[in-house]
Amino acid sequence: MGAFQGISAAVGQLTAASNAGFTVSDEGGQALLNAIDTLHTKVVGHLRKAGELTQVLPLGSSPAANTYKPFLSTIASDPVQGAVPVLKQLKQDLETAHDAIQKNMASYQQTEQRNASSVKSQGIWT
Amino acid sequence: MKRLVVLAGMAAVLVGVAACNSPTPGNPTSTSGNGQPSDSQPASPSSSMAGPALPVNDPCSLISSSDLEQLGASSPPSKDKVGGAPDCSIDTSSGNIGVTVLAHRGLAQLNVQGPVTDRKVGSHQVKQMQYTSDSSDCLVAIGVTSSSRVDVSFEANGGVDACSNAFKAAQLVEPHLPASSG
Repeated sequence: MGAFQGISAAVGQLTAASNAGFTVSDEGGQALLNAIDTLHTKVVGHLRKAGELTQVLPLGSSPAANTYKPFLSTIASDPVQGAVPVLKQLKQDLETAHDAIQKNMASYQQTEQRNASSVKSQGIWT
Repeated sequence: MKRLVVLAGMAAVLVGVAACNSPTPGNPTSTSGNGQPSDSQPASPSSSMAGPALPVNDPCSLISSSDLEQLGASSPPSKDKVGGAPDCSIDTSSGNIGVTVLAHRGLAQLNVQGPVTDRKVGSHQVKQMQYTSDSSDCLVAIGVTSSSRVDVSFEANGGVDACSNAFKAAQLVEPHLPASSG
């Protein structure tokens, strides 16, 4: 779980950086977006299957069901040991990171355009 | 005398071999730990009501290529198993859709974990349910017989309405299902 907390912390720093004007080029930003989106797609798929798993596993009052029940509850809801809450947080972090990178790329474009206009207006580059 | 003993022994061996080779009729089925048939077996006419079996070997056959286009699939669907049940997983631009065949679990066996709405899609009764309070997931369980159903589940990307997407997917899956008899 420490690795996931590290990702959350990194996303927080990325958001703070983009708010402070940090920029990234299209090429660099797109490489980051591709990696984030690939992981996000996998996490979303796993979350969907985790939900369906609670429908498929034996329930009721059979011996197997009574054995599974406490673990299903832990997987679904335990904030420390549960897989679902951790995956939900990771999904949210990836979406936040995606938005931050896109903002950084837009900032880069704006900066480049301002720089190009400045150079042209000084007659350096016609 | 010795020859008689040998002949009797050979006769006994031949009778024993013939008995072992006689097939004993039976209907072996795999079971999960609780004695219920696993969802990887087709719904047999003796355990469920009338109608053709659900496609347990190819859950992705319940969704056509034009359906995938309507859902915004971003890659080909993948066949998998969830807890032993045949599952078709579809990545779309708005989230992940799953079509899971539960050949031995009907609508009455739905594990209720959130608010449930009874609806109808085509000729099938369905139950729509959200698992978690953040509204990012939704399940539409389509009843086929009293002891079998197909679950269409959806996990949404941020800001996407999970239940409207799940219901739309269920409307595309439903025409491919056997007529409801439960």
